[in-house]
Amino acid sequence: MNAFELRNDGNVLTVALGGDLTAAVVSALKPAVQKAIDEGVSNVTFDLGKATLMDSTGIGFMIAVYNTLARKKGATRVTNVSGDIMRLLQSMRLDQRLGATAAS
Amino acid sequence: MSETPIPSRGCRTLRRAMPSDLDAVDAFCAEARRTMVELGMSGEIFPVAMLLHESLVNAIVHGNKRAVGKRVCVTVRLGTRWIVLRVTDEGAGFDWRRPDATVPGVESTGGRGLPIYAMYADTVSFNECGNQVTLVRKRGGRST
Repeated sequence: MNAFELRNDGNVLTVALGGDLTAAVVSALKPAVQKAIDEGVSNVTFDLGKATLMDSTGIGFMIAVYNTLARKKGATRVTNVSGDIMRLLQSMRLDQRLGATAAS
Repeated sequence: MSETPIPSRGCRTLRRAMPSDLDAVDAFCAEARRTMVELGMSGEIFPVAMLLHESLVNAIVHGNKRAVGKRVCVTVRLGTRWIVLRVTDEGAGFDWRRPDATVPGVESTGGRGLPIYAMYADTVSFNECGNQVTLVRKRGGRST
């Protein structure tokens, strides 16, 4: 399984994680997302449907994306968030900032 | 380098000396998760995996500065009452006497490692020079 898949419709980039969002995954994901933003994407959605864990590097990366897109009047969303990760984001007061929505 | 888990006094111990490679972190954490499933400790997987990831990534990135020749040693002891993680790097250490476990502002892209330790571990301790962290978690004793 790939660590992530990217779907870019020109304005919205969807990052579908194939597993956890960890420092190792961020190392590969960061340049791909940055390239899409440089090419005009102003909204990024992280689909965490297959993620069971997100470390502080993963959190920091999503915040960096949020900060970058906020300057472009864009938005960042995090979808299909597991209960454990949602509680982690809530404890960091990041759930609302990142537009996190729980897995159904 | 990889060692077979050794049952000891009702505990299972995983030990590894790994390169300063972030992919090695994910591989070791996957092994720890599989072991915890085998031991019927599924309810502790998320907090233990969080602690393992944070401590190992800290050791590689901040301790060893990702130096290829430096290694990180990790021991995970999975007991019936306690889970103990110990991670040692080959860096110079840090001033653990002034740790900041305050959750950073929402705009900050870093500084969440120590708050995660505080969130999921019952005790956090360092050796004198600060290049070894020991994290202890009581099983079933926390809501996080």
